[in-house]
Amino acid sequence: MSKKEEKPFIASRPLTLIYKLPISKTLPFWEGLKQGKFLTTKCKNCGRMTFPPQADCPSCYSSEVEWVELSKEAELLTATAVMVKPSSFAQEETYIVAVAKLKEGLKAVGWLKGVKPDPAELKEKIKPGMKLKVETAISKEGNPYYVFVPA
Amino acid sequence: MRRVAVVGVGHSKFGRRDDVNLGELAFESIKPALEDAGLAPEDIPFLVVGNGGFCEETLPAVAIADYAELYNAELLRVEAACATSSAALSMAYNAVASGKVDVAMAVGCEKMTELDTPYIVELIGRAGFFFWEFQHFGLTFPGYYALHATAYLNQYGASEEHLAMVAVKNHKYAATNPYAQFRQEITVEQVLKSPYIAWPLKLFDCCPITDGSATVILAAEEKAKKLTDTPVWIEAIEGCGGSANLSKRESFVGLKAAQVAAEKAFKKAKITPDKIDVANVHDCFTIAELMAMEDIGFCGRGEAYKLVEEGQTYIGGKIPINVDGGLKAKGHPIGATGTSMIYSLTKQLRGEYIKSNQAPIKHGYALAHNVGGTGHYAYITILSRK
Repeated sequence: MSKKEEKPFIASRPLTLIYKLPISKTLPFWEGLKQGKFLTTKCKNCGRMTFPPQADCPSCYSSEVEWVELSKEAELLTATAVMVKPSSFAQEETYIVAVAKLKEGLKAVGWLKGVKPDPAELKEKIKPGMKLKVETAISKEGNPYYVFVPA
Repeated sequence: MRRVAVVGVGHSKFGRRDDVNLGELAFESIKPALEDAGLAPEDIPFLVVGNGGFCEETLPAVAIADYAELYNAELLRVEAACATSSAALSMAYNAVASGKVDVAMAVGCEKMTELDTPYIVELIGRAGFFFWEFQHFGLTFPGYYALHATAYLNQYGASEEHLAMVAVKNHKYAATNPYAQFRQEITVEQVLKSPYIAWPLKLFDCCPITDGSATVILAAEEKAKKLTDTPVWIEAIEGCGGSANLSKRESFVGLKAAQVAAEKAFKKAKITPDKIDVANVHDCFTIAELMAMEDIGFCGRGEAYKLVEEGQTYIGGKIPINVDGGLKAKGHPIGATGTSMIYSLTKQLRGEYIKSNQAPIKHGYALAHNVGGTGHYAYITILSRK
């Protein structure tokens, strides 16, 4: 595992890429978060609810979907704490990512706040069935998002 | 469809290969594969390059084909995340089996260390479900598998020690594999003491960041019999896609795509899992090896960690797994891993693998399990020497 000496190289020309991620078709979700609401899509044709929201129903392929408000009640399915972070998250403290089952039966991925990301505490507290609630928040970059917190 | 055999394999040294560029690295496996098959560059009419896209080349297939001057071939590049070169092999197989060509080459090659580690962690993390998982929540690949590890350990009562046992085995076999990135044995205690990368996975639960290449040449039955006395037949190569977004996933203790691909492959090959003499499975993280054993059907749900505890996955055990060191210790150059598995298993079935790593071949079958993402793609290949 010892770090070997680097071989000769020429540094490439630098490239910084920022993609513009379209949200037109899921805009009510992002606007809802700003107002403290947790919304998703429901197909008007077959009734399928999806999370994350999507403008086209993956079951019957209808594009007639409506926006419905979710209860914000959830329970934990599984979680991890990310100690070694990607470069664009380098400034963040260690964060816990959870997969939770919403009361409506849908699943969602998101940060779990309110639990210390310490291995001993994680081992004790991270158990399937742990009751959670969804809270809305605004990121440092100004983007709305949601988090799970212990209920 | 015609029968198709592996007639040539080549492998580069895996590791931090900052002494070579993409074309030079691919050449290290293309040349020995051609020599193994007794073919010349102009004998290759169909070339599929597997590359995940982690270096500066926008058109990696072109860089590789140009360096080795494989100009006679129809050329394409495929991507199936960490199952990329199994997908490449599948395309090459189709071209030969269909009768389009008599010979085809699949080159898996990846250069990952040209970027510093945080950037590679970033790029691989983006390869889950970008918008809903990475953009907002910064999941990394260790993180994706850690979510499965948490679920598995909670559901079946396995421990972090069981995960460590997988790493210990794979390091043991990598120690005697000259192509492997890590050539030293480790202990369970060392694994358990290593720092957490994504709880509950620790440094020694994770495969390294690797540069490497592996090449496989296929031929149709008649041609294969002329080229070699030891053809290794592709009995099945079956793939399946799966949910990218974890919120659409039914279960976190196995990978559905791998289960479906395995079922399809065993049906096609007309055999059952107990006929497999040796297997390479996608152990990008230790938990992945346990899930793979259950997804393939080497044991029932929740039983893999018990087989590991009993040492049944070592040579001499019920089912030797990753006895070339696996992704965990041989290394995991994303686009080269699938063809690297086929390299090891072809040598195993020919009975010409590294002596200390040669598994006993009783039934004459070997299996490669190659997963892209966390089951976003899965390929199962069954090889035979019959």
